[in-house]
Amino acid sequence: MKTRIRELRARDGLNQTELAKLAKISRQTVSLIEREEYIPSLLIAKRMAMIFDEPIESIFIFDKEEI
Amino acid sequence: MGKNKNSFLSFIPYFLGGLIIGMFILNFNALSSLGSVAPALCITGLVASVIITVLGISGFFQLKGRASIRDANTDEDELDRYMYRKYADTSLSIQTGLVLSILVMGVAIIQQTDAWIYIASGITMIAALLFLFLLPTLLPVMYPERNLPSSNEPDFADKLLRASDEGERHVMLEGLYKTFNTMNATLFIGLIVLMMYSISTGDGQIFGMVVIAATLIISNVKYVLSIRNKG
Repeated sequence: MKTRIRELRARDGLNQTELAKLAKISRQTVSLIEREEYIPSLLIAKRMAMIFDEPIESIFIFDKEEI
Repeated sequence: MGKNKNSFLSFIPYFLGGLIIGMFILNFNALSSLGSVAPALCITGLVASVIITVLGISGFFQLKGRASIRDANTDEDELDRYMYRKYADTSLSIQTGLVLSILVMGVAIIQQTDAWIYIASGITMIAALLFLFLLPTLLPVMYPERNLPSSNEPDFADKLLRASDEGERHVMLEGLYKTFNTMNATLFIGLIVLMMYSISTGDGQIFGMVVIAATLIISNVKYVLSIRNKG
């Protein structure tokens, strides 16, 4: 899975801690997702989509083989 | 079935590792002369445990100081990253200091070395224990915005796990699973080493072998029972 969270954070001027507070998760979890070491639950993905005002599938991008 | 076969096969390197370590130790006759070098070993262990515990205690106060200083210029991400790593390092130092001091105290008492060695190791053990209990009190200072349980609440560890989010649990799961596998391997190697030592020297380590075997069986039974009913 590829993620655009780092890019979207930079676009909206958010640091990891601020994004974590908005998404009601820890900064470590934001960092894990950004480093593509953890695929978040649907709930967190939905919160991220709402924060960045983007569809989930444009934030979390899967290869065809992964689906 | 294939997975069980793999689990069984995974023990073969540990068995061989135990044999090699056992043969190495016996070849150099290191353990049979342990009695004569016990005072030197105790002093070395004591110095190591004191240094490691002092490092841990120093980490505790550094963390406490850093966590309470926050202003508009603070880089929140950098501070959080620092505190997360410092907490882990401090916890590891204090735990290691505690185990080493208990080991030194035990060997010193068994070998009847100078009294100051077990008094000093006892003081180190008490200091390490004290800071091991004090360390979780830093969590609310480090993460004031989070609803974390107080360290004096009953079932603190369970409540802390429930207060963690999915990413933190994922990290803990990976860490604990690797730890479980490492513990299985090292205990297995220890069992083989003790068995070889007992056979070769005639100095039976039956009690130690029983304790290691019981620990291996109990931890594996506990793990399997906790996962088998979730299917």
